[in-house]
Amino acid sequence: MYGIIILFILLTLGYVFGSMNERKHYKSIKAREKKYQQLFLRNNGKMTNPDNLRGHLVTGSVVISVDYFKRMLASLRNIFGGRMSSYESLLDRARREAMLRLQEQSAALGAMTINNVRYETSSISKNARGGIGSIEVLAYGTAMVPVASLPKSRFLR
Amino acid sequence: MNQNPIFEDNVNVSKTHPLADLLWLAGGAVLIIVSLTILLYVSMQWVAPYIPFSYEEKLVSKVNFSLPTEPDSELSKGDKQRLVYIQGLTDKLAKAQSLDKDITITAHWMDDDMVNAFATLGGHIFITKGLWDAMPNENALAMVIGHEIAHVNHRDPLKNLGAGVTLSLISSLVFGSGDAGMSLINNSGLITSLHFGREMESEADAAGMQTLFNHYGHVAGSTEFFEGILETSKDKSEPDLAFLQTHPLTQGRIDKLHAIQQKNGWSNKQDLIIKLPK
Repeated sequence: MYGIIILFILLTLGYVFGSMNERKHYKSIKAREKKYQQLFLRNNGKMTNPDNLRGHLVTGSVVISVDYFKRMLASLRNIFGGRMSSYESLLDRARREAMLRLQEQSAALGAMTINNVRYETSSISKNARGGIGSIEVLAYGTAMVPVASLPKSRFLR
Repeated sequence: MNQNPIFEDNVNVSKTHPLADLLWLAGGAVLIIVSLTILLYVSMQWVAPYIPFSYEEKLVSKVNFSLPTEPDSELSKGDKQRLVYIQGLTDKLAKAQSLDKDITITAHWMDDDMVNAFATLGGHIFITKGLWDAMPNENALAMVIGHEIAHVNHRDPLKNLGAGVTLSLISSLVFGSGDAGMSLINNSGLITSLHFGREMESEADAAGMQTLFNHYGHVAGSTEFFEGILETSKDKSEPDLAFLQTHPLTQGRIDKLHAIQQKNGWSNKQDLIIKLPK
């Protein structure tokens, strides 16, 4: 009986805080995507005008964990099959957040374009039985920084 | 000027509302679980009598029953003597009930003030200290023991196991206790020891009465304990009578026992009653 009560509390908490966070996060994602709209992302490796630009590795990474409500929903999905819609929004947020962090880092370097942008996803708690499902989403690319705007550091020359 | 596109409509996320999703999925899961439980329960009613008792014993020997009983060797001297007496009575009653071949009954003493007695898998029956203290005489105790022996003989604990296993399977799925297999049966073993169906109870009653007659040649004192406990239960201030939870006792049940006695013309003379040893 206590188990059911605890389950219900966890589900409610998971749902309330989960959806609150999600709404807040999407709002912030959308705002920042607008902010970095000019920081152009490309996924091909060819450099444009390589003489006055220099490439730098930039990364943006996010580690996310699923909440109790979504996990419950997903475990039920495991029985019936179909789209795991509860995880879709979570992963969508993670990908976009990782990309925004990449753009933030590139902007700090004074980049105009980011070439060769890639995503990597890895599960952190793959073999932990009963553990929480967490994944890392890593976005990486080559930020093309104008030589003139580079800081006078010997590491960046 | 190159710039990143901004999509107003997110194609990567399904539009279904998570609560609606949960409702559908949980509803489906509950439906499956309920039908599975019913199926297992019903099929066990049919199958249980054909499962050899030795299988049941083997199953129980692998399981560490989480019942609050001390090993017999740790009982106090008085309790040990009582257990020996109860086991002796149980053996005599088991013989009188003409059990199916290879069924053996083992009695256990529970040092608990709750008034309770129950039968579980593997022919184990449990008598609490509270029950012993509440017993007016040997005949009344024999009636309770005969009743529990009848549960074992009718394979009632095994019949309940199907539903019990499903229930604990569900609880381990939902609450994620993770340990499958034996612990399921372990937990459900406790469940099976409780709550037999009404039909099972009244069949066990009738068999218990028959046992009493076979053993003593009369049925004096058979309903005395039941009547007494039913009377005390009417007094609300009385502490928890666990016996009533495991054996839903009604006047109807007692009346049925009287009817059996009258129909068979079994003697019910009070001077035939045997006293319990201290």
